[in-house]
Amino acid sequence: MRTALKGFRAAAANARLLGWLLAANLALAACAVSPLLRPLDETLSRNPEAAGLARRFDTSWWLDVTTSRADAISAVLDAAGAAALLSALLGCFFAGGLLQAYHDTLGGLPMDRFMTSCRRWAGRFAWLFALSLPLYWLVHRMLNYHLVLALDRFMEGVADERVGLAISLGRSMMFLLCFDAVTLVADYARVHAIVKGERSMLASLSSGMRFVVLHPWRAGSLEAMAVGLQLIALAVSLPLSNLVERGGGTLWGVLLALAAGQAFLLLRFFLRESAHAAQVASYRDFLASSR
Amino acid sequence: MDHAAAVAASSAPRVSLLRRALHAAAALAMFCPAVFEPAGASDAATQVGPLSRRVASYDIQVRLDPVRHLLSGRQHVTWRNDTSHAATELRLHLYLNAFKNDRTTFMKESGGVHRSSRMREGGWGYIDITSMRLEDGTDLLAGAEFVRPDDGNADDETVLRVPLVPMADPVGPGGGIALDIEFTARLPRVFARTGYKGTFHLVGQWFPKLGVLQEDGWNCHQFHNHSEFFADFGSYDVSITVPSGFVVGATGAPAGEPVSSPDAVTYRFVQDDVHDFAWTADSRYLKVVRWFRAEEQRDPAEERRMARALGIPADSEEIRLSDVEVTLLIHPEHRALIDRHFAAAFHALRYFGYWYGRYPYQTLTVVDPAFGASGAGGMEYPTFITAGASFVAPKSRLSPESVTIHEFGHQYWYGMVASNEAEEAFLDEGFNSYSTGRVLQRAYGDNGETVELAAGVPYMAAPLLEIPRRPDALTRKAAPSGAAAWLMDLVWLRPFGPSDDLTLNAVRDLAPLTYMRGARIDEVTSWRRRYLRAPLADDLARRSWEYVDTESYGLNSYARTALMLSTLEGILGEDQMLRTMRAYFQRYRFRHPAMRDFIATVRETTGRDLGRFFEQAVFSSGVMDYAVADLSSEMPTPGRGYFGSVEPGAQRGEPAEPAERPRTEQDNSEGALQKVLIARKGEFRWPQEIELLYDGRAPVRRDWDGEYRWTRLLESGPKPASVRIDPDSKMDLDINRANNSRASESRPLAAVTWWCRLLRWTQHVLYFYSGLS
Repeated sequence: MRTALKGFRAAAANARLLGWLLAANLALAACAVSPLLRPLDETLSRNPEAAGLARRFDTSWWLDVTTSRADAISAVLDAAGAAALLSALLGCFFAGGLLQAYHDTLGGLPMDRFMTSCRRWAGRFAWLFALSLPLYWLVHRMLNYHLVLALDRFMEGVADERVGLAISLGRSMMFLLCFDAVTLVADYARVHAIVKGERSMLASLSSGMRFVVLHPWRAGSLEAMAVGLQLIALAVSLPLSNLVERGGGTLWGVLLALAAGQAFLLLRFFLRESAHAAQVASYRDFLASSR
Repeated sequence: MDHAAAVAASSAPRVSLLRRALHAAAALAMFCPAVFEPAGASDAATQVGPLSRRVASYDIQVRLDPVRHLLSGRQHVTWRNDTSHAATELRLHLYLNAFKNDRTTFMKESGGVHRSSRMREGGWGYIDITSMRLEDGTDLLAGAEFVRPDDGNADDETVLRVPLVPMADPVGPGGGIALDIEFTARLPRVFARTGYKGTFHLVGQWFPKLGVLQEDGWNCHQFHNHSEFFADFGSYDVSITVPSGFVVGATGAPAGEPVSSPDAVTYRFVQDDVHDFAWTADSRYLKVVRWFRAEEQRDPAEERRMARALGIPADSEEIRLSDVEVTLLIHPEHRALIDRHFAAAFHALRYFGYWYGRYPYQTLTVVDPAFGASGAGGMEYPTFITAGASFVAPKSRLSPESVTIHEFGHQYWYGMVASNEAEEAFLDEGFNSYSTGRVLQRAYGDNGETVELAAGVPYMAAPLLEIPRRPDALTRKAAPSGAAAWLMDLVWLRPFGPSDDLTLNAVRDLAPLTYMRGARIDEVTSWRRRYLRAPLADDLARRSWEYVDTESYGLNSYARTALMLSTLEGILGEDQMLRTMRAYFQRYRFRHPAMRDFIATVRETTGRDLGRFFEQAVFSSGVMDYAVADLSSEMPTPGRGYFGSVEPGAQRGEPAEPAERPRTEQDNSEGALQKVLIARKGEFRWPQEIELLYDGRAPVRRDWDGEYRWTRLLESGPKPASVRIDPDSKMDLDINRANNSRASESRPLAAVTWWCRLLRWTQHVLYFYSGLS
């Protein structure tokens, strides 16, 4: 809890940096979805039911949009894919500056030092990201392919669907946990690199893995808290989002929905960066205690 | 042909002498069609005597070995030549041989995947005839050979040709023949509707079945991936022997009490006037029986509607229902869904009975397939249907309701109106989809959209956009190929897990926030969604194995045909469509109609020749798409140029100054000229209605013949608030309804609202990816 609080304080002190993350996210997403603005305008602006369609989802209308504008939809999905990869690489860029901020100071890192740290670590963290991909692949292959096939053979002897459902859900949850574990390993690898000034990403990755495997409670409890907070944020945001959606089709409704959406995303970034800051604090405490 | 020794053939119960005598008497009666003419147009349920021309009847004794999944059977078949030509050979279907190996026509066409099932190693099946003799002992098997009338595939053994000559005499017109056949079969691990999984056995297409002899020869196609079945009506008397502890259900009604022996029980089922027989056995079934009592299940409002549409009294016998014993065989983990199964079956009995004619049989059996055997679900046999349910079954998802009603509907379209499912699959699937949709809307309203958060875990919501997933480990569908597809794969980091797992997708998308919760879909939209996947792929009317792929088969046979019928309903009106469909059913039940028969029925019942409609909707792949291309106003302006007589100076050769035309009364009126441009974007031409809606004024409707590429309406007066083509939404075949209307005022905020929702989804997806690094 103490570590988590440290994380909140560090993230709050560097809140303006979160603005960069949100701005990058918004810009990339807007570019990706921009091809749909014109088709939506063409199919909806002159629709006599526009006011109602703005507030409620009509499956028939959406079907017409997606089929008559299939090319635009396809372009958006391709662009979103490119934006997703760019987003991952931008994450590599910003990670250095953010982690340095959490490590160096509790009072907020000046922008020039932030950008210097970003540039300094960007290449290395991009390499670390590439190194983590085989781990994701291994988890995916083992749990979404080999285990699925093995369970499929096992299920031949399962007559009761409830048992089958439990097994299937269990596998799904296991995959989620393992996927998150790989992300956690990469997180601690970056933390190790920043805290120890480690230049070798292989060594950092190995340290991250060692830390997570040997100290699962320390690593896992922070992660569980982070996930829990994200779920709470979602639970709070949902009813607000429903309320705001009712104003769809009006100028104030659009602006309010947009603002609410960005506020929620900012909150998600804040919670995630708090978790990263807490990881830094936790790792530092671990190193101090193990000396 | 493989003449492997019979397996436990002697263990199949022998047919008693008394039974043989009874069969001989029945066969004699069958061979005298004058005595047993079918029901015709009169009500089948009150009819005494055969409902159909009983051409092929089967008396079968079969034993199931549930450990090795083997059937050993003996059947006595009586067949009558119902054509005007002599028959010199017989042809039989051996459907189970489609699952014998991976070289059969079915397996080649399907690639080993059918619906949600894939053929597993060790899961092959087959059927083997070990003896075939006439009643006088003449052996017919020696001269029999497999034939491949559709594709010449030498490895396909699903059609057996049995020459009668020279071993026996040809069967003359109206004549008959009786055969005794012994066979063994191995059921496949549930695949393509039939098979086993654990103790669950769904036994369909399991016995040697005669094809249909028509005037131009035997109609006996090979078993294809997309084709279903076609056979003659007759009587079935089937005795099924299973080990003790198994619950058995089958086509027809139980005849007598089960007969027990030390380790087995024999159940006997009989049913007249059907063209197939299926059964099931499982030691885990719960058997629940309820009666559909006609008096208790009446819907007086529907009766009044029917009476008005048909022009008959509301208490007429024509719209009376009959009592039916409904048996549900359900697995214990689905016991919470018992009431829902029965409710669905009862709705189907009620509305199909009202709309087309009462269900003429006394029994209906509904089967819930076992876990992991969904390939046996969603299938129809006479008086016997398989549904399919999940443990997690939200009511708004309408599962098992939808499949139960659909499979019951096949009792009408396929069971009684026995069209050729191989050659005209759309005649039963599409007609049934249309009817099922009507029942679902009547009984339940719209269906709830669903995504799966994990296998078997539904979430009642619809995603706006979906990142395509690669095929999962359990299917053999190929991933998209080509450099572009590979690149997008990599860009989405798909090889590394993201986007390939259902649950991770939901986390990535933040489903509770970005998906449309509670989204509903009506039947017409669900048909359109399927149809619009590939509307130009094929003509609607093709033989089932001749569609370009499985998707084309599915969308044309089911969705497009349903849309064709709902569009026809829009053209004819609801009451006339009801009368037409009812007439088609009443005229062709217990017969084998083709599409031309339905078209003729439409012509006769409506007095309209709609050949052009059917030519475009059924026998071509042209699509319908009418659009409001433009809506504008033109204010009257003073005229410029010469008007009336020219100035005197001009007559002398001097140039005359153009003069404005003096303003007239007309120019001074308030009305502008409203121009509406309607375009035809598709090749399907059909008259359209156009409606102009005004604020504070009654709407105006105009007709257009829909022939040329466009038409322009010119209306004087105030500007319409909006223009709509097909204002009553009759043209369900129109592939794009979003362009069917246009408002004069633009409201861009609606588009911005939806763009922002898509932006929100994208932002959360990008948030997920940024978290990986």
